[in-house]
Amino acid sequence: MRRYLPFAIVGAVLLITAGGALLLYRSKSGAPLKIATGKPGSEPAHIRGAANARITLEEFADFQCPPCGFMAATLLKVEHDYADSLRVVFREFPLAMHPHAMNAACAAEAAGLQGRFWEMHDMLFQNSMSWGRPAPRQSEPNATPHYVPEETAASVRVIFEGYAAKLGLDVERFRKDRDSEQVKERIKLDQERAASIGVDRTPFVFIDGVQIPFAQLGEKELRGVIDAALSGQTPAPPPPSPTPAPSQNPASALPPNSAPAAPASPASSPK
Amino acid sequence: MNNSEPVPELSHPWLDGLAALLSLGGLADSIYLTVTHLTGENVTCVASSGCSEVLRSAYASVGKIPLGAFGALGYFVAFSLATLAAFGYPRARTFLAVVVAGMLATTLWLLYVQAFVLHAFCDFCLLSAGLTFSLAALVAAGYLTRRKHPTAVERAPLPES
Repeated sequence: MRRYLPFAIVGAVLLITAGGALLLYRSKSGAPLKIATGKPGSEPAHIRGAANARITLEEFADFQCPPCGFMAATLLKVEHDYADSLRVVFREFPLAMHPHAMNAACAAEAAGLQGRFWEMHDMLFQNSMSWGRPAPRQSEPNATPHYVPEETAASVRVIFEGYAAKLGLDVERFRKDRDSEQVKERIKLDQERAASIGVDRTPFVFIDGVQIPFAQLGEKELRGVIDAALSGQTPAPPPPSPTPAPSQNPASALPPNSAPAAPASPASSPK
Repeated sequence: MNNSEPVPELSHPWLDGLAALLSLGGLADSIYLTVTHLTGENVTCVASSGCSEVLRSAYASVGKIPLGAFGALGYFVAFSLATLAAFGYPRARTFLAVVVAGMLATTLWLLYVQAFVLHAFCDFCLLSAGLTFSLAALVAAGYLTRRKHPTAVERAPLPES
């Protein structure tokens, strides 16, 4: 009996592990697809693509989230190839876990007020590795010889001003706009829309109002989804009641790890 | 003493048992990382500040397979071998050493990538690194403290004087 006991233990652990992994995976991704029918979000929305496009892709993203950066690069290629049939809507969803995400969202919205949202959007994502590293926490030793100094909130704002200048924006106006109530309100409205339709991570993508699972956001998979939508095979709508009820407080509908960032406080902004 | 007495224990089974427990911890950590990678969940760090930078970097997967899946496989094999070793399968201990050496080399490479390429660390990766270092220490301790197998001469009964 003792001879077989270790094999029994290993087999039991294998079964428990496989079952646990499956349950965890289902609990995190197995939720029914969501439909984007919540609050409207900021208006006018940021839209790129043909006005009469057959398909609308709505993305909730955070400029400091690395997968959103990959997604932006993928979307650029996809948008190019489906120029006549795809329209992309961008929604702000800066996460609290990314310390510069709100600043970046404000910068993009401020550029939008001068009609250059998408240019700033692309610039922020393309350069996110240079500005997106968060400042070290207090507990971290920052005197390590090879430790690369990360950007602080103030230096990130200066970097964004550089982007604004590069894009030919009125930098003085850009500085004022990014701290304006108008910009904060737009971000808040997008966050409220996100909360109302159960967006809890980034990037979070809907095509024609139906959530596209994260596993299908690679370029090849996304093209497959778009092709299917163009041929009339839309993803199956979810059963009723998977989405949380619209909430006045967007953070209340989200798990703590994914709480959207609070609007940047003027106190944290360099003058 | 005669030849029918059991052979003295070659190593400390509790070291193998501890190695099995540590492997289980690593297995859980790796599975969590694999699942979050596949579902696209944003992982929040508590002690460090670069979870998403590390876990969403180009180094976080090999092709389409998350690195965590390889880690889970490694930890499961280590767990199996440590369990077998704890129950007295001596060859399992040798294979365990080989597997743990491979895991240690991978861990050192990943720590290098975090420190000097990505300039960001993630809690779950550091936890895994700590577990692998501990596993390596246990395996090394097992070898260093292992008693030699008694030779036939040593096991022969002493002549009566």
